Amino acid sequence: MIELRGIKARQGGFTLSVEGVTLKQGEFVAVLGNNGSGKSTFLSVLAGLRNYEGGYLLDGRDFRELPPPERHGRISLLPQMTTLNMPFDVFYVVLTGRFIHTNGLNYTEADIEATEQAMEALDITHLRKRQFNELSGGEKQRVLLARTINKDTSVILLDEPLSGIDILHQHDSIRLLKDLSRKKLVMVVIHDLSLALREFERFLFFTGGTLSYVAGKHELEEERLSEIFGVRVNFLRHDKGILVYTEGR
Amino acid sequence: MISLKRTNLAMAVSASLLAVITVIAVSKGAVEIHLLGMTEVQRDILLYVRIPRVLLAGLVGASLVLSGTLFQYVMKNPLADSFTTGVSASSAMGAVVAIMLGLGPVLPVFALAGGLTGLAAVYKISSVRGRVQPITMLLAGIVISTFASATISLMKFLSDDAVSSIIFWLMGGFQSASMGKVATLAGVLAASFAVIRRDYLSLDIICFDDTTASSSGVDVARLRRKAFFIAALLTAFSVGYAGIIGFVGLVVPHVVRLLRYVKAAELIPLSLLCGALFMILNDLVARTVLSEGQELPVGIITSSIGGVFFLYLLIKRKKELYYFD
Amino acid sequence: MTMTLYSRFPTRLFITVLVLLAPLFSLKAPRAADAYDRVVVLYAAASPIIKELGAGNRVVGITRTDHVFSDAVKVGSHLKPNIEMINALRPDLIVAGSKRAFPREMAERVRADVFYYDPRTLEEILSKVADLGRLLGNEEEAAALAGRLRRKLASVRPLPSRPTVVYEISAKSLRVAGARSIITSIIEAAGGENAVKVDKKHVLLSPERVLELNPDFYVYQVGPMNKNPEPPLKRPFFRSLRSKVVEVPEFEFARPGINAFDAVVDLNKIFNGEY
Repeated sequence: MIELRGIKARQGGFTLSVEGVTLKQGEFVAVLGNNGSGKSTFLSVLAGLRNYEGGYLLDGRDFRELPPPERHGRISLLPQMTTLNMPFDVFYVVLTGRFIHTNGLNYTEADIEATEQAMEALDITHLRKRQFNELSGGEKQRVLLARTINKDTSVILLDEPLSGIDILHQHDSIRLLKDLSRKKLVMVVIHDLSLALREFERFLFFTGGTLSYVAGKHELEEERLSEIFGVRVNFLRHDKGILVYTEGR
Repeated sequence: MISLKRTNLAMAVSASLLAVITVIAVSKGAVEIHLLGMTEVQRDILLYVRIPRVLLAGLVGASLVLSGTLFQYVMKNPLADSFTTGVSASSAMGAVVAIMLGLGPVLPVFALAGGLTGLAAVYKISSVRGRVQPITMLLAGIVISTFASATISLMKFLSDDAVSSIIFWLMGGFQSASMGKVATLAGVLAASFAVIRRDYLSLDIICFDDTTASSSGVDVARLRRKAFFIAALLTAFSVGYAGIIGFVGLVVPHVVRLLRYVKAAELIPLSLLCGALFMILNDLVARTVLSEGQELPVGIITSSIGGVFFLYLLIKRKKELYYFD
Repeated sequence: MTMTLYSRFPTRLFITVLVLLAPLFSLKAPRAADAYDRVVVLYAAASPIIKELGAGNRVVGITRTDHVFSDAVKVGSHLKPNIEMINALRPDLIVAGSKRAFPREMAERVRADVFYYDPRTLEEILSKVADLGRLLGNEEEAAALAGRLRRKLASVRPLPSRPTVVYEISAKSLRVAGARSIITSIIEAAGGENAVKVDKKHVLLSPERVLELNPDFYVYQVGPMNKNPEPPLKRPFFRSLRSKVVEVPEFEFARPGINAFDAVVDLNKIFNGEY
């Protein structure tokens, strides 16, 4: 469980501010907002990669007091961009996700087993011997997603995990994340409003560095969203849910 | 795992090659020695000149390669080694000061002091709140390197008579090998290896960007500091004992990576063996290619063999090389 | 009036010029008319010879490391002389070390003749002494100096056999004197033999080879080229060196000048066991 009270994080001229929010295991949370609204900064504060002021409790304990290994043992982060400057194969890239579970010296049979499962879950088993850097953008993204869930933590933060992934695998990935969120807290930065409204239960909206709107699926209002995104947001309701249709300025 | 078998095989092959080359290097030299039925002089040459020399060459080769490999991890740059980081040049600056002041016997101490000073400067310039910035470090290294080279040039200029001594010393060589130096360097190398082999998995993870690496649970700043210090220490000892020997720390890890040994657990031990092998071979050439016991400075051989080979790789295997960027 | 003016002025001018030039004429008078009288010495080993020839007062420029003529202007080092300073001294003769230290491009930039002083043997030193005597118009002094130097050589005492020598130029990177070094000539004149036959001035030599050559004497110089070297017998790779190890001063042995003849005498004493 994550409890935030009066969080501020500054970098240069940018300030992230979160007045207060509580997020629990079992939630599947979408993080939305325009570019530069603070979504990625928010995730990196949660992951402990940035200094902040204010109160942040992780599973009831002050995050600041947690030693780094314990923080990383509880939270995984898939950054928006990942680079690798060594020609590792796909299997090894996914395997390195298990680092926090090792004694620092070797990966065990259990780690290899977990890696196989993560790869299977994201349908990348056939890529195992390929070089990571030679893959297409979408394939890379699935490999990194597999690497992140392979870390097997109770909180999973994903910054635009679906970008570049084809529709087939988007569906698979979302289903997987949704399954994971039954026992974990899964937070996903996403830009596709229709997809978000179809799949997620809870929504965090950022504008200008501030967490401005927290809502459940059924509380969402077109007016409010139009304000946040600066475009006209229309909900087209149908029997399977809501489709979002936007009009520019 | 299959890759483990492949690695073990490669290790076995390079270890046996190393053994063979060592035997050849011990049996060949300026003076012909028949291992069976040696004269007393030949026995002395073997024990006090040749064997220490072959061992020192191997250890310096391994040390330079380990330091080069670590610098490449720290700076996320395949072209990093003790030269690009300025540690080599500042060690050399310390050594040249020792030559100028006529303190030849304590030259390694000066090289070490110079190297660590250069390291401190580069580290200070390139770290922001304890975090080393790879690109800044590369730039700082170039600045320190240039500064150290300029200082060496000034010292050369100020001492017309010592200039040839300085030039020859800078070209590198293992002439003044001794069992004492062999023991010291073996100790430093073994300790460095023992420390860094516990970080193989972390070294692999810092090949990712810093955000990914940190959130994977690796203390990136601390690992960089550690690897940087070990690399600088190895460079300073190598320069102190054998002068400036270029290209080894760059070429050997590169070749090992091109052979698809890319995980630290494979790359580092294999590079160590190949570095020792390469250097013993180069020194063998340096001390046998000319007649009547004349020698070539070994730095010339490593740079030309290494340079040509590297050029070949650049031209033939451009594609693979790009992936390290 | 005009006539007087015309006739008076040239006469005065002529007299003035004569008076001004008088000291030069009086100095030049005893020497050959074409002798040089503003000399820049760019190779310190030649200076003692010029001094012995009695031509020291004509040396106007020297190098930084030259301490023979303290009144002359220092014009840089022997490897990097300052051409502008040299030209400012308006020399008519440059005594340079070698074509490498003072190449043609540099020589073309000075308005003076260049004499290369680069002897490799004692005989060549004697012939260079004669050359300098001729150039400076001090032939008698040159002959006298050559005589004194030859007498030094004659004082060398014969040895029962020719001892072999390895002569260390520098220890950090072990370089020894090769066949083309002045040292070889000094060793031979002193009754010995340079064990290193390589046809170079300095040879980067394997320590193994020194042990194999097993010379009677291992002579190591101490000076700017070999500052405070570790004594050979203390070097681990020389622990089995059986040669007699002797230290000599670099300035006496490795500079091809008058000192080389003293080096012969001293080395002969060393061979005779007098040191």
